Amino acid sequence: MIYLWLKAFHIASVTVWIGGMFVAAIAVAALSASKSLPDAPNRADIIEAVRRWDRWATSPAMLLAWLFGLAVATEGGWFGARWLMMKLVFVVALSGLHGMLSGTLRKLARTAEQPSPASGHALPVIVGAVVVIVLLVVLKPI
Amino acid sequence: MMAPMPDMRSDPEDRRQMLRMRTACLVEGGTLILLLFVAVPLKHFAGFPDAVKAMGPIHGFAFLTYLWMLIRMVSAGGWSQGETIKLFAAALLPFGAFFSARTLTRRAALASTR
Repeated sequence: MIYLWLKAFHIASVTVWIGGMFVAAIAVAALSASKSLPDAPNRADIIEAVRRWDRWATSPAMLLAWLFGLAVATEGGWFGARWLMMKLVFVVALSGLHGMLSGTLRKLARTAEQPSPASGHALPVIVGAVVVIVLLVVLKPI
Repeated sequence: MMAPMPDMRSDPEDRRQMLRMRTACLVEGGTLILLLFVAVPLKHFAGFPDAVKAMGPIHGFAFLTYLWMLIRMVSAGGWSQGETIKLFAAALLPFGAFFSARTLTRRAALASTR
């Protein structure tokens, strides 16, 4: 029973975390692509709103996803399973990407410079990693 | 150690971030010391493997949290590549966290005086 509760909280945390990452990635991509946004009068408000969400929802959700994920793996005896080890590689990569997006938003809040064009590629990376993770968890192919 | 980049604006958020980062760094370093010098000897010399089973995931979580905060801090700008590598490498070595904590304390002091 406790296993199902842990799993439910893990999925809820992951949903909020990944949703927040999309928000941050879309904001960074928009600022990378647009020529008018750097001079837009409400640019700072947009960045601040996204950063606030990142600080109060996305980042805590990521930490909770990790904690509940570790608890689910321990409770279910999944440690050592190859699908889980592979999933962890993608989860660490997603966490790193989240850190980069979060830091980039902080940089944009302080300076008027545009993010690097590479920042615009975060969205497909998130989608790809999420698809692989879901396939690994549901199908457990290895 | 390279000097901080001069174009960084004075910001109390900078100082708070450095101090939070220093806490994460010391927690990471502390759990590594506990794992290597308490839990591992308990497992091998006292036949008590539960110590490693408990400390392993705790240190893993502390290390990932520190790594995530390091990536976020570096992505925000103001850190050279050399400083970044030192802060990362120190997390892998026992007692390395104390060197990083000193660097972060210095940067926090600079952030509050800029």
